[in-house]
Amino acid sequence: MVNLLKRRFSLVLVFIISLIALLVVMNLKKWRYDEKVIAYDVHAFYGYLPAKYIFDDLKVEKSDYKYAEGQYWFWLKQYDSGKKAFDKTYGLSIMYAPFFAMAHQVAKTFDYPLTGFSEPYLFFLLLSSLFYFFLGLLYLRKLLLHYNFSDREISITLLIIGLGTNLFCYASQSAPLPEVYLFALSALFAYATAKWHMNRKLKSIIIVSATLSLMILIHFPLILFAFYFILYDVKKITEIGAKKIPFYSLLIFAVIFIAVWIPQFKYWKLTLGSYLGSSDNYEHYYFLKPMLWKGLLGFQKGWFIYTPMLLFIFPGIYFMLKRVPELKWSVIIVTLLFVYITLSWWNWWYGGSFGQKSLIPLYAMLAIPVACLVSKVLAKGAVIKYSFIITITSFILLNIFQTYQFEYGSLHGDAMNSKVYFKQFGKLNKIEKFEEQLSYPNYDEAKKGNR
Amino acid sequence: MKLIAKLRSYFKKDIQINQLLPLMMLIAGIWLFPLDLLQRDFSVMPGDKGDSRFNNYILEHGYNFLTGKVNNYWDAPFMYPEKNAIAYSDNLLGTVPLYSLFRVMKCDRETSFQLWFLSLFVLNFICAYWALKKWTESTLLSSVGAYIFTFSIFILTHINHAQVFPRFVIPLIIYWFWNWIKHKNLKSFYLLTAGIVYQFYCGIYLGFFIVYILLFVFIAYLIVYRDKQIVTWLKEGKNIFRHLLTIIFGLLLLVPMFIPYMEISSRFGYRDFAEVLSYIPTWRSYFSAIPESAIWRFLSWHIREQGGNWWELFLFPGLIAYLGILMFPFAYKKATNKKELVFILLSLLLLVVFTLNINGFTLYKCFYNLPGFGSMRSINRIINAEIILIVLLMVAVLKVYETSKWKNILLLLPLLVIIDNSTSYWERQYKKSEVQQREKETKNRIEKYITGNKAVAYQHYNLAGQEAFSHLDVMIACQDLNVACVNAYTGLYPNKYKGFFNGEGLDSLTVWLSANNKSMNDVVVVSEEKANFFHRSYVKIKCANDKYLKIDKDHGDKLIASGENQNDGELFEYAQIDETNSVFRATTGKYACAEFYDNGLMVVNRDGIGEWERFRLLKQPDGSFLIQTFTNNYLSLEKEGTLRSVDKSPTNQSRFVFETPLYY
Repeated sequence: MVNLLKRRFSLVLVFIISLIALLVVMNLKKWRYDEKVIAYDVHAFYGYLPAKYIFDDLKVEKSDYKYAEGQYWFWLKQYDSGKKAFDKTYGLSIMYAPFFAMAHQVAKTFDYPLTGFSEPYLFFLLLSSLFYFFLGLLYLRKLLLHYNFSDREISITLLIIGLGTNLFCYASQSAPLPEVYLFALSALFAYATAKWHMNRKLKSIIIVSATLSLMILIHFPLILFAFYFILYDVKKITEIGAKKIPFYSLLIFAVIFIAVWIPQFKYWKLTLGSYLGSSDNYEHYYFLKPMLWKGLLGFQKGWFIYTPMLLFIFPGIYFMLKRVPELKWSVIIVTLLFVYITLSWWNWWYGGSFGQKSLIPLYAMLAIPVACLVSKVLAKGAVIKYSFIITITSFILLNIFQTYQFEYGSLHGDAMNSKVYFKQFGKLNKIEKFEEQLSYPNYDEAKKGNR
Repeated sequence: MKLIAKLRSYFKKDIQINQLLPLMMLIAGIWLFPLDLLQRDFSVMPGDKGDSRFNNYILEHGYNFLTGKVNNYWDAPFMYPEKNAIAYSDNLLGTVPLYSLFRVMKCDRETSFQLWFLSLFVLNFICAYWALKKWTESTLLSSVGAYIFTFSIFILTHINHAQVFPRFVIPLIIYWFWNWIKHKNLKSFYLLTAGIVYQFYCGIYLGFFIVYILLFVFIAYLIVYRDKQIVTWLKEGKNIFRHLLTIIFGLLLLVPMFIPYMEISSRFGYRDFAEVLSYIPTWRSYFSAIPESAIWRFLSWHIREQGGNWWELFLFPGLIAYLGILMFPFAYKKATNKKELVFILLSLLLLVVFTLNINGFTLYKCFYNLPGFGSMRSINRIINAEIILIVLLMVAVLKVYETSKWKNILLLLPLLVIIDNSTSYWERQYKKSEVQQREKETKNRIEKYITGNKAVAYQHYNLAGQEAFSHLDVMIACQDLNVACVNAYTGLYPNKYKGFFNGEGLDSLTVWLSANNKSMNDVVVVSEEKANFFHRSYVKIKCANDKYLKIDKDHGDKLIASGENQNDGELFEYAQIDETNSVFRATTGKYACAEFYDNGLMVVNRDGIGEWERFRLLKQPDGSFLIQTFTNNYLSLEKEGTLRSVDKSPTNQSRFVFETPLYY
């Protein structure tokens, strides 16, 4: 047992980290409240399942589906054409589906309302987040093993990513928003990419294609992750065009990729009358005004402010260039592009959320430079080693504490500023006149590019 | 077995990533430009409700011709009884088969137009890529060049003018021209001639422009290469004969298309050069970006300062397109093909210089008097063809860096060019369902009145400011019903027709019909509710105090003569509704009324026409009018500036002058 723990401690740690997230979920008991689990965007991501499998009404036209006056189960968007549809794609519903099925059985057995929105459904949705958190960590571990990191290095990396970043919040407090699911998919995608480049097996390309397609389906800008695959193992960036892929792999990739999208095309055709869905004119990217400074270091939603642990990626990337050279272009280019495009969006703070949630899909691939740093640090003397461990422990504690601050509203979702941040630092309950000191963003102006 | 083995080996074959680049860029461009503009659900049409729909009408007419529903392509059934109606505008014949393909596939008229629009983007990209790849052998640069040629932001400036979308032959023409002249390849000359002829059939403007461009390319070639071999080669064997025969054959192919246009041109003469001048690009226009651009919006407003048709002159194609010009001096030093670079640059410079408006002076005037050129107004559309030279220069210049230490940066180009040409919103579009509904309503209204072969003359209740799409509603409805109509929207109008276009009155209809030896017996007049009238025009009314009538909205919508100048006065729709009575409708949609209970005070607040809203107009020798109300009193100006009908006989305050009548 001791040996197992020594050799496979990282595996045990995957369970432990997931258990900690489970503890938070159990502690917050959100499934008891109507609007705390299926909230905001989750309505549109999840609505497909009850609409199709419970009400047999994908167009949501047979009833109002209200659970209280003015409160609706299904949130549909009305497009310019006057037609209505969920404005999110069905990608996340696929991932919710097994848990939805289990919840349905439980609801039947214990006589809960079979609406798709009663307690068992909410509880199982939360469980699904935990499951994909667990799965993501599991494949992250496999990914790191693939690059020959030691169990110790992997364990510390898992702690950093699993407990020390805002990913933890999205696996527990903010579940079941899509970020944790995207983390799991990206970990699987990165692992399958590595495997394919090693063995060129059919299974690997199928997983690469399915995960990439599903990620894009859930969040379109993740199309940039295709560059992770394309740039993988490219020694010189100028040789990227010369990289070869067998035709059959390409064909299988294309078939799987499109197959994942087919139900979505059918849904759009059913509701909007077009296989390609509909776009509108109101939300834009502002590529000349990427909010890099605010998005990375601002107190409203700065990535490194609310997830300071990720500052480790800078030295990590430096060490990665030598340790895992096949990843140098993949990680650097995808990260730069994804950060640039994500922070060019009109709503660069992505609504009320903890930290830069939109960058969470990068964490699986950024774990590799972090592991490279860990590896370097562990090879150093005791002072550096223990300083490092103290630092990451502090960041983990800060992250978990801030997750609770976010839950208690003392860390505001979109209106924080440096003054409030420092005044509120270390305090779980809101400081006096908290709301008055916040800096609320102007959504209407932001839509016009004035952010 | 052999086939299986062959297939197996093919499947195992390796594909290089760069082979996928053009496909990826095409998908990205289609997704971000035409598909996004159509809102992906095809609920939105590109362009405006006037020109864009007119092009749709022409394509549908072409489809009707191909399927035998129409006997003569040129005599389209609008502007009845005018012959050669199609020749009043571009004919789009070249791409009618493409449009018809979608009609055959049972798509409706508007959806077929959307698919035609989309297909042209695909064709433009494929042909541009092919030509650039042949020229430069660089997949990366050819993909970037084809992206600019196809999806550049300036294209939005011309989105209403579908006749400039089919331009996929242009890159091929330039390539064939180069291949012919540089490599003395006769086959390329045949293709070049065929390409030019086809481009004319796709759109006359671009047909002329490509010939115009080739002239400068040819001059640049002679200057740079000083190629005497071309003369020797032409003299060899039967080469000169073959060339001449090809040119004659090409011209003969154009004859059937040009005859109708020449007939129209002989009646209308050349465009006024002052009008043409306002469409010729200035230096500013090449640096003026469409406001929809996500990156270059800040370059949208300076062009306003030059006045004229500034909104037609957003010709900026993005920064990447200009890299060829910006980096030319640096690339020239390193280049091994210096002559080729100079040749492309000189071609472009000559073209720009000869097509530039410098404070009212332009060398384009040298070409204005040539046959065909004098009939063209929108010279700004040249950018649609000119862009191929800009792109070619960019590709040739950047090719120099493909083997230098800067080559890594070139890899960013595909992404940069997409961002460079991205848009943040769409403005030039309209809802498909809305126009389909209008067309359906118009069709239902007309259907009841159709008798025999009589053409339809349609009177709209509201016309001012929406003449184009109101007439188009009728044209499209009549196209569906397979009947001719007098209503028309096109590029040019005969003088006698303008009255009907602007007012739709029976008087102007009679004028138009008698000018064409027809009478009212040949048409059936269909009026929208409340729109039956003899005459309609739009006037500003000047009173005896030399001031213009306005509506005093703060005091019961009284009419008051207080407008200092014509712009300040209210615009009235003046309609003669029967032999003697006329009505006045303000832009608020309300009718003028001599208020019976207030001693005939004139107000403008009535929704319909009753006795009090009818007036009799008596024209005076000096052109002014006396206006009698239903009480037979005359309308006169009071001291306060208000109007009242209390005078039994006219006074010196009872005269009114109608200004800017569009037809009277």
